[in-house]
Amino acid sequence: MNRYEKMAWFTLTLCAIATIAFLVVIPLAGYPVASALFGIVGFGGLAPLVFKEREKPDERDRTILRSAQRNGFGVFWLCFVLANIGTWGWLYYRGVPTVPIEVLPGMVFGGMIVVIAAQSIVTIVLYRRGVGHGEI
Amino acid sequence: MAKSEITNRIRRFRFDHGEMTQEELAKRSGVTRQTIIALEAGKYVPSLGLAFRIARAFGASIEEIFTFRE
Repeated sequence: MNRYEKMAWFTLTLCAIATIAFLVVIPLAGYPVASALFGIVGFGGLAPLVFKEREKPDERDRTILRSAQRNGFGVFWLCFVLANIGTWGWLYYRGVPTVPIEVLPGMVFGGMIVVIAAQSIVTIVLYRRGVGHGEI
Repeated sequence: MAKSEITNRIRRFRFDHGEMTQEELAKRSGVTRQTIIALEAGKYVPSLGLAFRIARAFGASIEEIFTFRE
C-alpha cells in the first residue's frame, strides 16, 4: 500500500468516525453539540505529516489523485442537489415555509464529508483496480 | 475494468536484461515500483513519455515492448 492509499484510508476512517459520532450524539445532546464532532475530519489535514515519504507522486499517482478529486466533487454536487431538492420537497409540502438556519452549516459539514469520503473511496478503488490511461 | 487495447512485454524484457528488478526499472523510468507492478499487471497504460522512457531503459523501440490491439 503506498502513501496515498494509506492517506485515503486514514481520511475515510475519520469520516466514518465523525459520521457515527454525530449520529450517536445528536439524540443525546442536540444538533449544535453533535455538529462539533464534524471537526474530527479536520485531523485528516495531518495525513501528509503522518504518512511521510521521500518519493514525489509519479504520473500514475497524479492521474489517480486527479480522478479522485473530479469524482469527489461530482458525487458532492449530486448529493448537494438531492439534499437541497429533497429538503425543499419534504418541508414545503408539509407547510414549512422556511428552512431552519441550523440546516445551513450542516449542509457545509455534510458536503465536506461527502467530498472527502468520495475522494478517498475513489483513490482506494483506482489503486486496487487500475486507473487506465496516464497523462498525455 | 474494460480490457486495455495496449498490452506490454515489460516483464519479459526485464528478465531478458539480466533479470532487472522492478525497482531498478522504476528508477530508470522515473516512476515508483508500484507503477511498474501496475504496468506489468495490465492495470495501467503509461503515458507516451513513460512508454518512451521504458523503451529507452531496455534499449529497445516502443513497438517491441508495447502492442496495440484493435
